[in-house]
Amino acid sequence: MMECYSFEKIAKNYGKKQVLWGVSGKFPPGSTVGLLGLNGAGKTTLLNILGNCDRDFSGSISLRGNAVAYMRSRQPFPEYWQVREVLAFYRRFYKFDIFLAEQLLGEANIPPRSRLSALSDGMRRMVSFICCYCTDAQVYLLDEPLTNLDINLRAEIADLLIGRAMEDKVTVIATHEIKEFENLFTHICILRGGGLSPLADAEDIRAEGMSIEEYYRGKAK
Amino acid sequence: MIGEIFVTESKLHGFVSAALFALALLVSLVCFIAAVCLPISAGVGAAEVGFAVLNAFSYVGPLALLGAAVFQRRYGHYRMAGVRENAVFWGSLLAVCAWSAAFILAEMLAATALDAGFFLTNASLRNRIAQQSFLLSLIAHGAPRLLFCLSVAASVGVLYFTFDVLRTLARRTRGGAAAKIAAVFCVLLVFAVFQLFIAGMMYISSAWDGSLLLSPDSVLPLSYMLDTMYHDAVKDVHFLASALLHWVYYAGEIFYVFTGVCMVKWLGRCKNEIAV
Repeated sequence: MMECYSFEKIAKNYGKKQVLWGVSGKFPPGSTVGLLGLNGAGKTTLLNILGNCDRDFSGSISLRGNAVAYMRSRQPFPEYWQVREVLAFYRRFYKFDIFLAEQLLGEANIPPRSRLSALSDGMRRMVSFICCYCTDAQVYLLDEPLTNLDINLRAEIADLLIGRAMEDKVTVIATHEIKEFENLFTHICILRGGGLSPLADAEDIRAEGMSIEEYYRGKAK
Repeated sequence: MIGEIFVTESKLHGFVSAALFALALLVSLVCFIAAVCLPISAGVGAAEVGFAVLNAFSYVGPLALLGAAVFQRRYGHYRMAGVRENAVFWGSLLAVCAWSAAFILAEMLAATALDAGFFLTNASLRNRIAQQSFLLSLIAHGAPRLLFCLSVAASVGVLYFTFDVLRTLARRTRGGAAAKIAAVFCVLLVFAVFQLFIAGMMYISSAWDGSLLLSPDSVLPLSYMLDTMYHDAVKDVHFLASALLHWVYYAGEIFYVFTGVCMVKWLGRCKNEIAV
Protein backbone atom coordinates (compact mmCIF):
# COMPACT_ATOMS: atom_id res chain seq x y z
CA MET A 1 0.00 0.00 0.00
CA MET A 2 1.20 3.46 -0.86
CA GLU A 3 2.28 5.73 1.97
CA CYS A 4 0.99 9.26 2.36
CA TYR A 5 2.19 11.63 -0.31
CA SER A 6 3.78 14.56 1.44
CA PHE A 7 5.82 17.68 0.83
CA GLU A 8 7.41 19.94 3.38
CA LYS A 9 8.47 23.55 3.57
CA ILE A 10 8.28 24.18 -0.16
CA ALA A 11 9.48 27.73 -0.82
CA LYS A 12 9.79 29.39 -4.19
CA ASN A 13 10.48 32.89 -5.36
CA TYR A 14 10.59 34.57 -8.76
CA GLY A 15 13.33 37.15 -8.34
CA LYS A 16 12.35 39.23 -5.33
CA LYS A 17 8.76 38.02 -5.36
CA GLN A 18 8.17 35.19 -2.91
CA VAL A 19 5.34 33.00 -4.19
CA LEU A 20 5.38 30.05 -1.80
CA TRP A 21 6.43 30.37 1.84
CA GLY A 22 7.22 26.98 3.28
CA VAL A 23 4.18 25.12 1.98
CA SER A 24 3.60 21.70 3.56
CA GLY A 25 0.99 19.05 2.90
CA LYS A 26 0.26 15.41 3.50
CA PHE A 27 -2.27 13.59 1.31
CA PRO A 28 -3.48 10.08 2.21
CA PRO A 29 -3.56 7.31 -0.43
CA GLY A 30 -6.88 7.04 -2.23
CA SER A 31 -7.59 10.74 -1.81
CA THR A 32 -8.74 13.20 -4.46
CA VAL A 33 -7.60 16.58 -3.24
CA GLY A 34 -8.99 19.85 -4.52
CA LEU A 35 -6.26 22.46 -4.58
CA LEU A 36 -8.14 25.74 -4.55
CA GLY A 37 -7.04 29.32 -4.60
CA LEU A 38 -7.48 32.63 -6.32
CA ASN A 39 -5.61 33.59 -9.46
CA GLY A 40 -1.95 34.16 -8.67
CA ALA A 41 -2.11 32.22 -5.41
CA GLY A 42 0.62 29.85 -6.63
CA LYS A 43 -1.34 26.71 -7.55
CA THR A 44 0.46 26.18 -10.85
CA THR A 45 3.80 27.04 -9.24
CA LEU A 46 3.20 24.40 -6.56
CA LEU A 47 2.10 21.80 -9.12
CA ASN A 48 5.11 22.58 -11.32
CA ILE A 49 7.32 21.86 -8.34
CA LEU A 50 5.46 18.69 -7.33
CA GLY A 51 5.34 17.59 -10.99
CA ASN A 52 9.13 17.72 -11.55
CA CYS A 53 8.99 20.68 -13.93
CA ASP A 54 10.43 23.30 -11.61
CA ARG A 55 13.50 22.21 -9.68
CA ASP A 56 14.67 25.56 -8.38
CA PHE A 57 12.94 25.52 -5.01
CA SER A 58 13.73 24.64 -1.43
CA GLY A 59 11.94 22.00 0.59
CA SER A 60 11.35 18.29 0.22
CA ILE A 61 8.86 16.04 -1.55
CA SER A 62 8.26 12.38 -0.68
CA LEU A 63 7.72 11.19 -4.25
CA ARG A 64 9.20 12.54 -7.49
CA GLY A 65 10.30 11.32 -10.90
CA ASN A 66 8.08 9.22 -13.15
CA ALA A 67 5.98 8.03 -10.20
CA VAL A 68 4.22 11.37 -10.60
CA ALA A 69 2.04 12.06 -13.65
CA TYR A 70 1.35 15.71 -14.29
CA MET A 71 -1.17 17.29 -16.61
CA ARG A 72 0.21 20.77 -17.12
CA SER A 73 -1.92 23.76 -17.93
CA ARG A 74 0.49 24.47 -20.79
CA GLN A 75 1.54 21.77 -23.23
CA PRO A 76 5.24 20.94 -22.65
CA PHE A 77 5.74 19.17 -25.99
CA PRO A 78 6.97 20.68 -29.26
CA GLU A 79 4.05 21.90 -31.36
CA TYR A 80 5.20 19.98 -34.42
CA TRP A 81 4.89 16.63 -32.65
CA GLN A 82 2.09 14.32 -33.66
CA VAL A 83 -0.25 12.93 -31.00
CA ARG A 84 1.21 9.44 -31.52
CA GLU A 85 4.69 10.85 -30.79
CA VAL A 86 3.40 12.15 -27.49
CA LEU A 87 2.07 8.65 -26.73
CA ALA A 88 5.44 7.16 -27.72
CA PHE A 89 7.15 9.62 -25.40
CA TYR A 90 4.96 8.55 -22.48
CA ARG A 91 5.56 4.91 -23.33
CA ARG A 92 9.32 5.54 -23.27
CA PHE A 93 9.49 7.43 -19.99
CA TYR A 94 6.57 6.09 -17.92
CA LYS A 95 4.70 2.88 -17.30
CA PHE A 96 2.01 3.66 -19.80
CA ASP A 97 -1.13 1.90 -21.04
CA ILE A 98 -0.97 2.78 -24.74
CA PHE A 99 -4.00 0.66 -25.69
CA LEU A 100 -6.23 2.52 -23.26
CA ALA A 101 -4.77 5.83 -24.47
CA GLU A 102 -5.53 4.97 -28.11
CA GLN A 103 -9.05 3.91 -27.15
CA LEU A 104 -9.70 7.16 -25.25
CA LEU A 105 -8.27 9.22 -28.11
CA GLY A 106 -10.65 7.43 -30.47
CA GLU A 107 -13.61 8.16 -28.20
CA ALA A 108 -12.60 11.84 -28.12
CA ASN A 109 -12.25 11.86 -31.95
CA ILE A 110 -8.58 12.88 -31.83
CA PRO A 111 -6.61 11.33 -34.72
CA PRO A 112 -3.21 9.99 -33.52
CA ARG A 113 -1.52 11.38 -36.63
CA SER A 114 -2.64 14.97 -35.95
CA ARG A 115 0.05 17.46 -35.12
CA LEU A 116 -0.40 19.22 -31.80
CA SER A 117 -0.35 22.54 -33.63
CA ALA A 118 -3.37 21.42 -35.64
CA LEU A 119 -5.49 20.59 -32.60
CA SER A 120 -7.80 22.99 -30.82
CA ASP A 121 -6.93 24.06 -27.27
CA GLY A 122 -9.60 21.74 -25.91
CA MET A 123 -8.30 18.76 -27.86
CA ARG A 124 -4.75 19.49 -26.71
CA ARG A 125 -5.92 19.50 -23.13
CA MET A 126 -7.73 16.24 -23.72
CA VAL A 127 -4.52 14.70 -25.11
CA SER A 128 -2.69 15.88 -21.99
CA PHE A 129 -5.39 14.43 -19.76
CA ILE A 130 -5.45 11.09 -21.56
CA CYS A 131 -1.66 10.79 -21.36
CA CYS A 132 -1.68 11.62 -17.68
CA TYR A 133 -4.61 9.30 -16.96
CA CYS A 134 -3.11 6.30 -18.79
CA THR A 135 0.16 6.55 -16.89
CA ASP A 136 0.65 4.05 -14.11
CA ALA A 137 1.76 6.52 -11.44
CA GLN A 138 1.31 6.90 -7.70
CA VAL A 139 0.36 10.55 -7.83
CA TYR A 140 -1.68 12.40 -10.45
CA LEU A 141 -1.48 16.18 -10.64
CA LEU A 142 -4.08 17.93 -12.79
CA ASP A 143 -3.83 21.65 -13.40
CA GLU A 144 -7.15 23.11 -14.57
CA PRO A 145 -8.17 19.90 -16.38
CA LEU A 146 -11.50 21.25 -17.64
CA THR A 147 -10.36 24.52 -19.16
CA ASN A 148 -11.44 24.93 -22.81
CA LEU A 149 -13.27 21.59 -22.87
CA ASP A 150 -16.80 21.12 -24.20
CA ILE A 151 -19.51 19.51 -22.06
CA ASN A 152 -18.96 16.05 -23.53
CA LEU A 153 -15.26 15.99 -22.79
CA ARG A 154 -15.86 17.46 -19.33
CA ALA A 155 -18.29 14.66 -18.56
CA GLU A 156 -15.83 12.08 -19.88
CA ILE A 157 -13.03 13.41 -17.68
CA ALA A 158 -15.27 13.48 -14.62
CA ASP A 159 -16.36 9.87 -15.31
CA LEU A 160 -12.79 8.68 -15.73
CA LEU A 161 -11.70 10.36 -12.51
CA ILE A 162 -14.64 8.84 -10.61
CA GLY A 163 -13.52 5.45 -11.91
CA ARG A 164 -10.05 6.08 -10.55
CA ALA A 165 -11.28 7.35 -7.17
CA MET A 166 -11.43 3.81 -5.80
CA GLU A 167 -7.75 3.16 -6.52
CA ASP A 168 -4.97 3.52 -4.00
CA LYS A 169 -3.57 6.68 -5.64
CA VAL A 170 -3.40 10.35 -4.84
CA THR A 171 -5.04 12.76 -7.27
CA VAL A 172 -4.54 16.51 -6.84
CA ILE A 173 -6.77 18.78 -8.93
CA ALA A 174 -6.10 22.50 -9.09
CA THR A 175 -9.22 24.15 -10.43
CA HIS A 176 -11.57 27.09 -10.35
CA GLU A 177 -14.44 24.92 -11.54
CA ILE A 178 -15.38 23.52 -8.20
CA LYS A 179 -18.96 22.52 -9.05
CA GLU A 180 -17.77 20.04 -11.67
CA PHE A 181 -15.72 18.17 -9.06
CA GLU A 182 -18.04 18.79 -6.12
CA ASN A 183 -18.75 15.12 -5.52
CA LEU A 184 -15.31 13.87 -6.47
CA PHE A 185 -13.16 15.68 -3.93
CA THR A 186 -12.37 13.76 -0.78
CA HIS A 187 -10.23 16.55 0.63
CA ILE A 188 -9.80 20.26 0.12
CA CYS A 189 -6.89 22.58 0.72
CA ILE A 190 -6.67 26.24 -0.06
CA LEU A 191 -3.55 28.07 -1.19
CA ARG A 192 -3.53 31.67 -0.02
CA GLY A 193 -0.84 34.23 0.74
CA GLY A 194 1.92 31.76 -0.14
CA GLY A 195 0.71 29.20 2.40
CA LEU A 196 -1.46 26.09 2.25
CA SER A 197 -4.39 25.61 4.61
CA PRO A 198 -4.69 22.36 6.57
CA LEU A 199 -6.33 19.50 4.68
CA ALA A 200 -10.09 19.63 5.17
CA ASP A 201 -12.15 16.46 4.81
CA ALA A 202 -14.89 16.96 2.20
CA GLU A 203 -17.23 14.66 4.14
CA ASP A 204 -16.98 16.91 7.19
CA ILE A 205 -17.77 19.95 5.05
CA ARG A 206 -20.80 18.23 3.58
CA ALA A 207 -21.87 17.07 7.05
CA GLU A 208 -21.99 20.73 8.07
CA GLY A 209 -24.52 21.28 5.26
CA MET A 210 -22.11 23.23 3.09
CA SER A 211 -21.10 22.59 -0.47
CA ILE A 212 -17.39 22.68 -1.32
CA GLU A 213 -17.95 25.93 -3.20
CA GLU A 214 -19.65 27.54 -0.17
CA TYR A 215 -16.81 26.36 2.04
CA TYR A 216 -14.25 27.82 -0.37
CA ARG A 217 -16.10 31.13 -0.65
CA GLY A 218 -16.08 31.39 3.12
CA LYS A 219 -12.36 30.66 3.36
CA ALA A 220 -11.32 32.75 0.37
CA LYS A 221 -12.85 35.95 1.67
CA MET B 1 17.61 6.98 -19.84
CA ILE B 2 20.21 8.49 -22.18
CA GLY B 3 19.14 5.98 -24.82
CA GLU B 4 15.48 7.01 -24.52
CA ILE B 5 16.44 10.68 -24.88
CA PHE B 6 18.59 9.81 -27.89
CA VAL B 7 15.63 8.06 -29.54
CA THR B 8 13.30 10.98 -28.75
CA GLU B 9 15.75 13.56 -30.09
CA SER B 10 16.47 11.49 -33.18
CA LYS B 11 13.09 12.19 -34.73
CA LEU B 12 13.91 15.86 -35.38
CA HIS B 13 17.58 15.20 -36.09
CA GLY B 14 16.69 12.50 -38.60
CA PHE B 15 14.29 14.83 -40.37
CA VAL B 16 16.79 17.73 -40.49
CA SER B 17 19.59 15.45 -41.70
CA ALA B 18 17.46 13.77 -44.36
CA ALA B 19 16.06 17.07 -45.67
CA LEU B 20 19.45 18.80 -45.90
CA PHE B 21 21.17 15.76 -47.36
CA ALA B 22 18.45 15.33 -49.98
CA LEU B 23 18.80 19.00 -50.93
CA ALA B 24 22.60 18.79 -51.19
CA LEU B 25 22.42 15.56 -53.15
CA LEU B 26 19.83 16.93 -55.55
CA VAL B 27 21.86 20.06 -56.34
CA SER B 28 25.11 18.14 -56.73
CA LEU B 29 23.44 15.58 -59.02
CA VAL B 30 22.11 18.36 -61.23
CA CYS B 31 25.63 19.79 -61.36
CA PHE B 32 27.02 16.34 -62.16
CA ILE B 33 24.64 15.90 -65.09
CA ALA B 34 25.42 19.42 -66.30
CA ALA B 35 29.17 18.80 -65.99
CA VAL B 36 28.98 15.63 -68.03
CA CYS B 37 26.78 17.18 -70.73
CA LEU B 38 28.49 20.56 -71.06
CA PRO B 39 31.78 21.23 -72.89
CA ILE B 40 34.78 20.50 -70.70
CA SER B 41 35.62 24.12 -69.78
CA ALA B 42 32.06 24.80 -68.53
CA GLY B 43 31.80 21.26 -67.18
CA VAL B 44 34.70 21.81 -64.79
CA GLY B 45 32.90 24.83 -63.33
CA ALA B 46 29.65 22.87 -62.91
CA ALA B 47 31.49 19.96 -61.28
CA GLU B 48 33.25 22.31 -58.85
CA VAL B 49 29.89 23.85 -57.92
CA GLY B 50 28.51 20.34 -57.26
CA PHE B 51 31.38 19.50 -54.91
CA ALA B 52 31.24 22.96 -53.34
CA VAL B 53 27.58 22.41 -52.44
CA LEU B 54 28.45 19.16 -50.68
CA ASN B 55 31.39 20.88 -48.93
CA ALA B 56 29.19 23.81 -47.86
CA PHE B 57 26.59 21.42 -46.47
CA SER B 58 29.30 19.84 -44.34
CA TYR B 59 28.98 23.10 -42.36
CA VAL B 60 25.26 23.68 -42.80
CA GLY B 61 24.20 20.17 -41.75
CA PRO B 62 26.05 19.89 -38.42
CA LEU B 63 25.24 23.50 -37.49
CA ALA B 64 21.55 22.93 -38.32
CA LEU B 65 21.60 19.82 -36.11
CA LEU B 66 23.17 21.90 -33.36
CA GLY B 67 20.37 24.46 -33.80
CA ALA B 68 17.77 21.68 -33.64
CA ALA B 69 19.26 20.37 -30.39
CA VAL B 70 19.23 23.86 -28.86
CA PHE B 71 15.65 24.36 -30.06
CA GLN B 72 14.52 21.09 -28.45
CA ARG B 73 15.91 22.13 -25.05
CA ARG B 74 13.32 24.94 -24.90
CA TYR B 75 10.61 22.42 -24.09
CA GLY B 76 10.04 20.95 -20.65
CA HIS B 77 8.89 17.47 -21.58
CA TYR B 78 11.92 15.65 -20.19
CA ARG B 79 11.72 17.56 -16.92
CA MET B 80 8.03 16.72 -16.60
CA ALA B 81 8.87 13.04 -17.04
CA GLY B 82 11.27 13.29 -14.11
CA VAL B 83 14.47 12.94 -16.16
CA ARG B 84 17.53 14.39 -14.48
CA GLU B 85 19.00 17.47 -16.19
CA ASN B 86 22.34 15.72 -16.50
CA ALA B 87 20.77 12.84 -18.41
CA VAL B 88 18.97 15.28 -20.72
CA PHE B 89 22.29 16.92 -21.54
CA TRP B 90 24.12 13.67 -22.23
CA GLY B 91 21.25 12.24 -24.28
CA SER B 92 21.00 15.39 -26.39
CA LEU B 93 24.77 15.56 -26.78
CA LEU B 94 24.91 11.95 -27.93
CA ALA B 95 22.11 12.59 -30.44
CA VAL B 96 23.64 15.73 -31.94
CA CYS B 97 27.11 14.14 -32.20
CA ALA B 98 25.85 10.87 -33.67
CA TRP B 99 23.62 12.56 -36.23
CA SER B 100 26.36 15.01 -37.20
CA ALA B 101 28.75 12.11 -37.79
CA ALA B 102 26.08 10.25 -39.77
CA PHE B 103 25.35 13.33 -41.86
CA ILE B 104 29.00 13.86 -42.75
CA LEU B 105 29.39 10.15 -43.51
CA ALA B 106 26.43 10.35 -45.91
CA GLU B 107 27.95 13.45 -47.50
CA MET B 108 31.30 11.69 -47.89
CA LEU B 109 29.65 8.74 -49.57
CA ALA B 110 27.77 11.11 -51.88
CA ALA B 111 30.96 13.01 -52.72
CA THR B 112 32.77 9.72 -53.29
CA ALA B 113 30.00 8.53 -55.60
CA LEU B 114 30.13 11.80 -57.48
CA ASP B 115 33.90 11.54 -57.75
CA ALA B 116 33.58 7.95 -58.97
CA GLY B 117 31.00 9.11 -61.50
CA PHE B 118 33.46 11.61 -62.97
CA PHE B 119 36.24 9.01 -62.81
CA LEU B 120 34.22 6.56 -64.86
CA THR B 121 32.52 8.95 -67.29
CA ASN B 122 35.03 11.72 -67.90
CA ALA B 123 38.45 11.25 -66.30
CA SER B 124 39.99 14.17 -68.15
CA LEU B 125 37.36 16.51 -66.69
CA ARG B 126 38.05 15.11 -63.20
CA ASN B 127 41.75 15.87 -63.57
CA ARG B 128 40.97 19.54 -64.11
CA ILE B 129 38.78 19.94 -61.00
CA ALA B 130 40.49 21.90 -58.18
CA GLN B 131 41.95 19.71 -55.44
CA GLN B 132 40.00 21.53 -52.69
CA SER B 133 36.75 20.30 -54.23
CA PHE B 134 37.54 16.74 -53.19
CA LEU B 135 37.45 17.57 -49.47
CA LEU B 136 34.91 14.82 -48.75
CA SER B 137 35.88 12.27 -51.39
CA LEU B 138 37.23 8.96 -50.14
CA ILE B 139 38.59 8.17 -53.59
CA ALA B 140 40.79 11.27 -53.46
CA HIS B 141 41.90 10.90 -49.83
CA GLY B 142 41.41 7.27 -48.83
CA ALA B 143 39.65 5.67 -45.87
CA PRO B 144 41.53 7.63 -43.13
CA ARG B 145 39.49 10.66 -44.20
CA LEU B 146 36.55 8.94 -42.45
CA LEU B 147 38.03 10.34 -39.21
CA PHE B 148 36.60 13.60 -40.46
CA CYS B 149 33.10 12.39 -39.40
CA LEU B 150 34.23 11.93 -35.81
CA SER B 151 36.05 15.24 -35.77
CA VAL B 152 32.99 17.14 -36.97
CA ALA B 153 30.88 15.34 -34.35
CA ALA B 154 33.39 16.36 -31.67
CA SER B 155 33.37 19.99 -32.85
CA VAL B 156 29.57 20.12 -32.72
CA GLY B 157 29.73 18.45 -29.31
CA VAL B 158 32.06 21.17 -27.99
CA LEU B 159 29.69 23.86 -29.31
CA TYR B 160 26.68 22.15 -27.71
CA PHE B 161 28.63 21.83 -24.49
CA THR B 162 29.26 25.60 -24.61
CA PHE B 163 25.53 26.19 -25.01
CA ASP B 164 24.82 23.96 -22.03
CA VAL B 165 27.36 25.75 -19.82
CA LEU B 166 25.96 29.16 -20.80
CA ARG B 167 22.42 27.93 -20.16
CA THR B 168 23.35 26.59 -16.74
CA LEU B 169 25.09 29.84 -15.84
CA ALA B 170 22.16 31.95 -17.01
CA ARG B 171 19.72 29.89 -14.98
CA ARG B 172 21.73 29.28 -11.84
CA THR B 173 23.65 32.47 -11.23
CA ARG B 174 22.02 34.50 -8.46
CA GLY B 175 22.21 38.26 -8.07
CA GLY B 176 20.37 39.71 -11.04
CA ALA B 177 21.28 40.48 -14.61
CA ALA B 178 24.76 41.87 -13.83
CA ALA B 179 25.83 38.60 -12.19
CA LYS B 180 24.45 36.56 -15.09
CA ILE B 181 26.29 38.72 -17.62
CA ALA B 182 29.49 38.39 -15.57
CA ALA B 183 29.09 34.61 -15.51
CA VAL B 184 28.52 34.40 -19.25
CA PHE B 185 31.54 36.66 -19.74
CA CYS B 186 33.62 34.17 -17.72
CA VAL B 187 32.70 31.35 -20.12
CA LEU B 188 33.47 33.50 -23.12
CA LEU B 189 36.79 34.38 -21.51
CA VAL B 190 37.63 30.70 -21.07
CA PHE B 191 36.61 30.10 -24.68
CA ALA B 192 38.86 32.99 -25.76
CA VAL B 193 41.77 31.57 -23.75
CA PHE B 194 41.16 28.22 -25.43
CA GLN B 195 41.24 29.87 -28.85
CA LEU B 196 44.27 32.01 -27.99
CA PHE B 197 46.14 28.96 -26.80
CA ILE B 198 45.44 27.21 -30.07
CA ALA B 199 46.29 30.30 -32.07
CA GLY B 200 49.57 30.70 -30.18
CA MET B 201 50.52 27.10 -30.68
CA MET B 202 49.66 27.36 -34.35
CA TYR B 203 51.74 30.50 -34.74
CA ILE B 204 54.73 29.04 -32.93
CA SER B 205 54.56 25.85 -34.90
CA SER B 206 53.50 27.29 -38.23
CA ALA B 207 55.84 24.98 -40.03
CA TRP B 208 54.58 21.97 -38.14
CA ASP B 209 51.68 20.00 -39.52
CA GLY B 210 49.99 18.69 -36.40
CA SER B 211 47.17 17.01 -38.25
CA LEU B 212 46.53 13.36 -37.47
CA LEU B 213 46.14 12.71 -41.16
CA LEU B 214 49.41 12.63 -42.99
CA SER B 215 50.18 15.25 -45.58
CA PRO B 216 48.91 15.79 -48.24
CA ASP B 217 45.63 14.38 -46.87
CA SER B 218 45.75 16.29 -43.58
CA VAL B 219 42.87 18.57 -42.68
CA LEU B 220 43.92 21.93 -41.34
CA PRO B 221 41.76 23.95 -38.99
CA LEU B 222 40.45 27.21 -40.34
CA SER B 223 42.29 29.22 -37.67
CA TYR B 224 45.60 27.88 -38.98
CA MET B 225 45.08 29.87 -42.11
CA LEU B 226 43.78 32.96 -40.28
CA ASP B 227 46.50 33.01 -37.61
CA THR B 228 49.45 32.42 -39.84
CA MET B 229 48.09 34.11 -42.97
CA TYR B 230 49.40 31.04 -44.67
CA HIS B 231 47.39 28.63 -46.71
CA ASP B 232 48.76 25.39 -47.96
CA ALA B 233 47.13 24.78 -51.32
CA VAL B 234 47.60 21.04 -51.02
CA LYS B 235 45.93 20.65 -47.63
CA ASP B 236 42.21 20.97 -46.94
CA VAL B 237 40.80 23.56 -44.60
CA HIS B 238 37.66 22.90 -42.58
CA PHE B 239 36.67 24.65 -39.37
CA LEU B 240 34.81 21.69 -37.87
CA ALA B 241 37.61 19.25 -38.70
CA SER B 242 40.05 20.48 -36.09
CA ALA B 243 38.55 18.95 -32.94
CA LEU B 244 40.02 15.49 -33.35
CA LEU B 245 42.27 15.77 -36.36
CA HIS B 246 44.78 18.21 -34.98
CA TRP B 247 47.01 17.59 -31.98
CA VAL B 248 47.15 21.25 -30.98
CA TYR B 249 43.42 21.26 -30.33
CA TYR B 250 43.49 18.43 -27.80
CA ALA B 251 45.07 20.37 -24.95
CA GLY B 252 42.87 23.41 -25.56
CA GLU B 253 39.71 21.33 -25.70
CA ILE B 254 40.54 19.34 -22.60
CA PHE B 255 41.26 22.57 -20.71
CA TYR B 256 38.06 24.16 -21.95
CA VAL B 257 35.75 21.20 -21.30
CA PHE B 258 37.33 20.59 -17.87
CA THR B 259 36.70 24.23 -16.89
CA GLY B 260 33.12 24.06 -18.14
CA VAL B 261 32.41 20.80 -16.31
CA CYS B 262 33.82 22.31 -13.10
CA MET B 263 31.55 25.37 -13.50
CA VAL B 264 28.46 23.21 -14.01
CA LYS B 265 29.39 20.95 -11.06
CA TRP B 266 30.03 23.93 -8.84
CA LEU B 267 26.75 25.68 -9.65
CA GLY B 268 24.65 22.56 -10.13
CA ARG B 269 22.13 22.32 -12.94
CA CYS B 270 19.27 23.02 -10.55
CA LYS B 271 18.71 23.60 -6.86
CA ASN B 272 16.67 20.51 -6.10
CA GLU B 273 17.51 17.71 -8.53
CA ILE B 274 15.55 14.47 -8.52
CA ALA B 275 17.34 11.75 -6.55
CA VAL B 276 18.77 8.81 -8.47
